[in-house]
Amino acid sequence: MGFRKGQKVEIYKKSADDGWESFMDAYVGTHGIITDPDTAINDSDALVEVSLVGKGTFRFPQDCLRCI
Amino acid sequence: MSNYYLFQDRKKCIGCHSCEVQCESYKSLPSGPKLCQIVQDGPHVIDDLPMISDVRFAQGITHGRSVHDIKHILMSCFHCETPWCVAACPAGAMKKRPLDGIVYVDPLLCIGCKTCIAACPWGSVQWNPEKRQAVKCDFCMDRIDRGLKPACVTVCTSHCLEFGAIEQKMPGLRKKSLAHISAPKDVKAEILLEKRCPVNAAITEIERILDTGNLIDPKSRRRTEKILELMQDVAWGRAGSDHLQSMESFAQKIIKEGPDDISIKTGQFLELTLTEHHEVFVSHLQTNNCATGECVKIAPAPCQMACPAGIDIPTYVTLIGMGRDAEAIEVIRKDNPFPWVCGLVCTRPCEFMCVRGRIDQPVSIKYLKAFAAEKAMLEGRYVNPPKKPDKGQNVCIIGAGPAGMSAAYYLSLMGYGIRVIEALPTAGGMMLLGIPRYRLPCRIIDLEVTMLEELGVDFRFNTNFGKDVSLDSLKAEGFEAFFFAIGAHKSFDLNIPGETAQILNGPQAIQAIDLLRRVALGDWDQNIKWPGERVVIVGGGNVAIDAARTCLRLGCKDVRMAYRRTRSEMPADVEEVEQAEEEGVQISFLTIPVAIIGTGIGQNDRITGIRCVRAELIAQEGGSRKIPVPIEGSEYLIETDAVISAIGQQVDQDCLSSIPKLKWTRRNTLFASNVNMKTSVPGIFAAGDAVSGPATVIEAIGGGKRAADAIDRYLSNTPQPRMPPVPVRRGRIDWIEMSAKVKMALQRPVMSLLPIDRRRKTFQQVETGYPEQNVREEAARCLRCDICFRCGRCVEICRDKMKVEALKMGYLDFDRPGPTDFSVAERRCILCGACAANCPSGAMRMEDSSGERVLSLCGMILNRQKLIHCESCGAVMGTAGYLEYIRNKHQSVIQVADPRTHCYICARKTMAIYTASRLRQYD
Repeated sequence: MGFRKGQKVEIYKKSADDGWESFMDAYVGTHGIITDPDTAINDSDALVEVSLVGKGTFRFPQDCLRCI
Repeated sequence: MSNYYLFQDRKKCIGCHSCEVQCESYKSLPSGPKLCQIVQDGPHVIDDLPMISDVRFAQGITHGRSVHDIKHILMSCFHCETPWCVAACPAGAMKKRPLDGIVYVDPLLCIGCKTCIAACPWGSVQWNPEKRQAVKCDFCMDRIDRGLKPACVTVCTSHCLEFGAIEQKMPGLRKKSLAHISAPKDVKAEILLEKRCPVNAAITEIERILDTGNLIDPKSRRRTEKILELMQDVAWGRAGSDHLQSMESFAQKIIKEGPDDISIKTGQFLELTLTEHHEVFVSHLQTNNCATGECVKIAPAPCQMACPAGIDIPTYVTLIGMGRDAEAIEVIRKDNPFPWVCGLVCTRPCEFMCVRGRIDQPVSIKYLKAFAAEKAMLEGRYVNPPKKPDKGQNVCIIGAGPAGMSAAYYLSLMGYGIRVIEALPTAGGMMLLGIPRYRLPCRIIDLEVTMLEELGVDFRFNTNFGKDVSLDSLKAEGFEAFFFAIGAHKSFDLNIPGETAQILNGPQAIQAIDLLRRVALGDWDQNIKWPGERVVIVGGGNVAIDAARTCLRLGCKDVRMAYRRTRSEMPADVEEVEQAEEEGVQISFLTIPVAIIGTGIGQNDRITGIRCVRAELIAQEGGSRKIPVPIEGSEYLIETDAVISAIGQQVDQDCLSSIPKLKWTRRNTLFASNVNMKTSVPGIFAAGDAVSGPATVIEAIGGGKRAADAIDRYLSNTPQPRMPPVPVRRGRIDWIEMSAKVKMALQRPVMSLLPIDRRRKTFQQVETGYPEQNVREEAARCLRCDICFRCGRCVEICRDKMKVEALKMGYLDFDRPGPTDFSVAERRCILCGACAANCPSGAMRMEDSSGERVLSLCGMILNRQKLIHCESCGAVMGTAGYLEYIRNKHQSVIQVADPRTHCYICARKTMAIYTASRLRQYD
């Protein structure tokens, strides 16, 4: 698990992962909170649930996230 | 004094008021604050003070008195050399032009604090309630700059008004230089944001076009104004379904009938905006929410945006606070058909985003739902909304979990015929199988499922897709769309020696999800000790915790979890871990299992232990994430009768192997767009754990709801959206009023739990809930972020302009929240109202009632003080603190012993009488 529940993160870049969808391009640069990390697998490759301020809650690949 | 004079020949004045009318019209002041006023004076007025009340303003009062008694006096502004209003203005909005000495209001800087109005002894500055700004006579200086005369002079029918340069009329009168007063600063052009709301941007542009005055064709201008009005309705969340069509129609008419280039260009701009951003306009209309937050009246609350199902949280929380539980449930079920289930097991992303959490603790949103659901159910008011007429089309849903049943609920309400196929003998999916009964009692799932059955949803249990039915057979039955919500029920293996040993009798290596499923369905031999006296659960997530606590309740004496990292890295909920440890679950951290040991493993014998190694966390090169690394020579044995694997689940692809065109991701999940849940096969949609991997109930519900919308669009040939849906605002509920002191004193209640001895032995619900009083108080803690969108303008105005610093609201900043202390407002606020005048959403409100002025933020009363009234007419003048503030401001201009005791209208009246008496000498 690379991220923990409650951590503040930034979507700082697009990801090439197949979990990244085109609508997410609009969210690069936005901040949010990890609301559900990879609860089961402890896998750095897992999609994590992030609540973005004023945008919604989505699952993102971890390589596009960084802590703030 | 300015460089100009504006004289009135009273003998010529006939009291036609055309000067006033033109003043209102030219300055676009619809509610009519006048820059100049005309006062009548009768023969008895001037010298007889008791008759002072008979001096009335000319507006509409020429009737009822003999005409020959009426005198009219123009009341403008003296444009003082050292204006009181300029000295009093904290925002630098009131200025004196160095060029010609005109005192004017800069509308871009005016913050609406009214200090200039209270400061001017002549009552020259007035209040425009519509624009919430001060206004005054500036001799129409924009006209002067163009070589024209003031508007009032231009229209005067009797030519009684005379305007000109004072140096020509009275040379040397204006002596003092006022060069020290700086010229107005250039106003920077608005910086357009990259991701602006098209509705808001269009409104700004239309206003700009209208303000330039270039759109001169009356028809085009009127139509553009009409479009602006309709667009403002959209931005305010009060538009109807025909607004968009009307705007398009007006735009087309402007293009078609526009006689000039500017009209046609304006029409083309409007048409292009409405076409290019059609989806955004529709979203505003349908949801009453603006995702960018720029349409401030409909900016969604962070909690609602955070909810994967988009529930209108502020509305239902407020309804619960008011005791209107059934209405609250009605609001919730518009976005989530399972409020009771989610009230008990939701992972509550909303609470992570709760703004109250930046002050103390987030509002306990999750449990409020459960309370309201139970209450509504007990009252018999937990009912389904009416269904739409039958559409004659059928949809088949595979999987009766939260995603499948959510889609079934919404599609059924839309009028589709729904069949749900479920491999298990009962509905609920992971809600039933993956969540133990001590967290979510079975009867609650059953009650919520019954609601679906009441809608006519056809459940087919014990039916396996791929075995009992196929895609072709279902198509042959007439189903036109399919929704796969098959969940992720297949566990990952530990991949250690001994795990796959086939043990037929007694304790064994089992998967956590299998354990939970068998317990949920009662599918085990209750005559034997199962899974064993001593068990080890491998994993650190919520499923591992659930398995451990379930084992305790099954009677296991020694329950231990083996987790390869430390407590702080555990992905399970902190509360769940705490409760598990209270109940007696032991957790071995930094423990990596390497082999399952048994007597004669491979020969159908029994497990005796699990061999583990100690680990240490080592930072990875180039990354901040630490990974567990085995410590050499640290191997040890944990004696156990059973090993339970809880390291995650995956989607079982076998049942879908008959649809080879279905695309899968590299994570072995079904490929589906998160916007419309479409898979790679037309007509097949998917959501829930099958798409996201093992996730949460609320995500599955949100996915099911999105899928229902997408299936409806698919079956009605409507284009699919490009962006995820914007949460819908379900109501505009008034706020709950209470003092800031009380609101801040309320603390999130502690959840009461079942006594520990009962928790260890029974599957009785552990969390016993809040008492009703606590629920109502907890709901009242909500800050109503659906109204206040935390722009911080109030704080800036109070701190930077008024220099009062009465608002200490550190919670406004998401990234770097600071301390919040509402008691500062009680001590320092002077109730000037500048914050309320500048609040774009109406969240900050200042009202006068019962002789007091009250300042509140979303119903939270920040300050209240006694009002001081005009000695003459009794009109409100402000609070003592406010008047003191203005007096202090005056010190630089003139020493005033006492604060002014007359309102600006009486001051104006007094000044008119004085002027009339002086002029009478010359009559």
